[in-house]
Amino acid sequence: DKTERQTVINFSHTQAPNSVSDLAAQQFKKYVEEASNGKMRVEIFTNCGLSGGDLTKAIELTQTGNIDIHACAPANIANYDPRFYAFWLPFLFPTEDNLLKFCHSQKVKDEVNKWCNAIETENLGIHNAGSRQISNSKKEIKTPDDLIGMNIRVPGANVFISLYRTYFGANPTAMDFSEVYTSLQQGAIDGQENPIAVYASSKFDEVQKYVTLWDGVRDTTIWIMSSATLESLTDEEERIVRESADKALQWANDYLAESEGQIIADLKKKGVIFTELTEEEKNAFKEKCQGIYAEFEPSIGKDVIELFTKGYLED
Amino acid sequence: MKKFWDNFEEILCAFALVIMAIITFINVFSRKVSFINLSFTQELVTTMFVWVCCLAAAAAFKTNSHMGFSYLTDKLTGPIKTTHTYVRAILITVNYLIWLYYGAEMVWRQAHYNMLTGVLEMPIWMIGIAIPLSAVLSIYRLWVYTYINKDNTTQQELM
Amino acid sequence: MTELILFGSLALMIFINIPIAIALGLASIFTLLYTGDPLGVVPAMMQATVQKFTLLTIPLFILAGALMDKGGISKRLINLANCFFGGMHGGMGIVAVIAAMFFAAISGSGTATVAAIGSILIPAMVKEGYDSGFSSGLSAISGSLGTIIPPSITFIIYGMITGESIGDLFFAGIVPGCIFGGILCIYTYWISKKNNWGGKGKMASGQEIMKCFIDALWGIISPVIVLGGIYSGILTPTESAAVAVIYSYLVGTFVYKELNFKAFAQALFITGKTTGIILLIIMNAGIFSWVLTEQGIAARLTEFAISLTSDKIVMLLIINIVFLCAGCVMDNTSALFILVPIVMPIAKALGIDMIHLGVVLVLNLSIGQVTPPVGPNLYVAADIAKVKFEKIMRGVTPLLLVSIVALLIVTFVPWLSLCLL
Ligand code: NA
Ligand code: NA
Repeated sequence: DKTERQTVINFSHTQAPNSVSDLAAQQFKKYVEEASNGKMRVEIFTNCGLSGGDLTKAIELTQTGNIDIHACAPANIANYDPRFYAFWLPFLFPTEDNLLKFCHSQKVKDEVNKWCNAIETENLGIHNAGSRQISNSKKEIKTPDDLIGMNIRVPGANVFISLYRTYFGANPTAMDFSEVYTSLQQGAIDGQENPIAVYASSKFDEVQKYVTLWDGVRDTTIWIMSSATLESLTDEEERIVRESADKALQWANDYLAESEGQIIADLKKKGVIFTELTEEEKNAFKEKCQGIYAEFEPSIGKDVIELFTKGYLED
Repeated sequence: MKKFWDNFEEILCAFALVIMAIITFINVFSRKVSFINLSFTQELVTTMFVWVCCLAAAAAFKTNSHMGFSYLTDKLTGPIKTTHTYVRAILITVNYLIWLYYGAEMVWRQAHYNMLTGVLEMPIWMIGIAIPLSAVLSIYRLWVYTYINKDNTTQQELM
Repeated sequence: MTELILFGSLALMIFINIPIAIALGLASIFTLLYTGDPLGVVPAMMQATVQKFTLLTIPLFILAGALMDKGGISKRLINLANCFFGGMHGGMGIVAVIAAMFFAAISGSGTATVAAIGSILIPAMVKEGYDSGFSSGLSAISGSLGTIIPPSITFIIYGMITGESIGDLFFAGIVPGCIFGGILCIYTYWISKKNNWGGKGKMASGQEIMKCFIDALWGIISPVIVLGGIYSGILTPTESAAVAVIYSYLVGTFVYKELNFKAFAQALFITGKTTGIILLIIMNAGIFSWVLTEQGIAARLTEFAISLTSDKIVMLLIINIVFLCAGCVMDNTSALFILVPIVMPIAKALGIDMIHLGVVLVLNLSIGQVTPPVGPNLYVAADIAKVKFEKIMRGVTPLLLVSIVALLIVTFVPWLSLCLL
């Protein structure tokens, strides 16, 4: 079967099998293999399976070309360039529509692509990954004061640590994700925050009953491609990859819009208590942490904050 | 000085182990006592752990203590044994030369892109450089051992 | 061809006494050269594999064990155990099994368990006349199998992949875990009686027991703090290891006054060396696992194996063989993420209960933690016992056969896994 050269694309992502990231990757695989009549093949690796589960190494291996395409939270790339932390600033996008406009904005795509090119990668696009909602085992969180003194597990990034410690008076812990379920169960930590789909697929509903839908950070997933791989593709192959990526990213946005409501309904049946906040209540959280924009402006840059808060709307 | 150099890896590892244990111990209180803010613990400790692993793995070549299957090769004698000794050492060296070359390339990348860790914002090359360094030390310790024990390469009883 | 280069060169290099760690690394490098993949992955995976906070339990529990040994805690605990079980053939071995199962159950890490329990009980068993290969093999295997008693990280990963309830999986692991413990104890008694291991002491009087108990009191507090701390949620497993280190140091230095500076330094040196030996294997196993994953070798072989039958009984046997083999050469997490999605649809189609399947798979992978070439728990035990690879293999092989018998019982009697649900 080696009569014709087959181009193999190793696609890695950070989430579990059948998560949004995985389903989007499967769509991409389908589109690419159809469009190329099987001359191109896409292999999907879940849970950073090509970097031993390590988020940062996955990006290093994308640079070396061992991984061809990697899908992750943009802030995972912030080890290279702190501007990527802008994606994790709290309460950036007032509504989901704003986030979708942001994802489709050509201005944003071009700017982020410049950052990606500087680290030997190409930005294939960004899709909605769902809002990071906060869950805990103690009580319904309705006001910023409810967070005071709570032990919350956050990703190992200063944006989150500062947000919870400085602005909300909580005790953030940057804990390994594999330790989270047991720590929640045994009470070593009180809560965690993640998109609702991750909360469900990680089975946190078995150990945490309270979820507050505060839309603290509307999270995204970025697809980056190794520049080394991009150069090795023919023009035709590159066109197929880009078009398939566009379609798969759009598919992910549509899927998320449909599935999130269903996930919440299912969790409610299992006894999870959802706390929905009014605009006023959300604003209380938002106002409490406004200082973080000034705090991170020196590392992220004024122009980037401008683009992420207003600039994308002009497109 | 000679004695220090002979136990260079072990001494560094010993210090690192003590610090790792103490920091992880204090971390317990950071969740209970709010004025202890140790969100950097995990990063600092894993960094030291990478160093301990790399240094200690090199140190184990001093006594040829790495786990291996010596049942067949113990039966060798004479010139075949000597040949085996050198073939073995060369193969191990090849492995470490690859560590060294590609490890250096990785460290160059980490430094070139000024990669920083998430919490402490410490340069990531300070972690990565443990790998090529370990390769250099391993090759050195391996050949010193091989030279001294030209005629006897059975795995020593550990420690 | 790729498979042949990978496995062939690995076997060849192990036979000519290339250290197992280096053999794993070189076999992977040769395969990467053949397939033309960039070698940048070698150092990257090295770093990725060891840069994990949870791995820290390994050196810390080894250090705690060494400090307990040099500080006089171990010998007092062993005296106490001897008071109760010294008069019985295999008594100390049974203590080792129960202690390891218990410790692994709560700490969730087999490797940490072997480090913590093994460093006290392996030397104690050897002193009582047990074969050193058997003693270390027994500690390695009971620590590994204890991880299926909840909480268990492997069950959490399986639950995330399949969507099964992690709480149900935890319950399902309890009875099979106890069966394994029981079978290991019976075997230990039988073989010890045959070889006249242990049983030299006589039953202690109530007064002697009381004296041993008071003498060992500070030592007994240590596992109470560690396990109680994890269980009550005050400590994570990694933190509990650090607490064990600090506690052992304080008791050895200030209460028993047996731990001087020289002994302390020695404990640190021993720990460093063992850590280096074990982690070099884990690092290189990381690269080996990467090649198996990226080249699709594990997936391809599994797809082939499950295509051989459509009979439920035979399929269960094949799944056992596939996961036992995977456990030999891969770490648990990679094996689960790659193989479960392949096995799941066919198992569902044949009406195999997914919770039961989870127990069977996790048992297989736990056994894989003590099979070479990638068997970290086996190597920790060997290093503590200061025995050669061949010796521990001779000691552990009958134990592996016994475990496989127990595995078959759990595989073909689903009720054992499902009775508590
Ligand atoms: Na457990
Ligand atoms: Na194994």
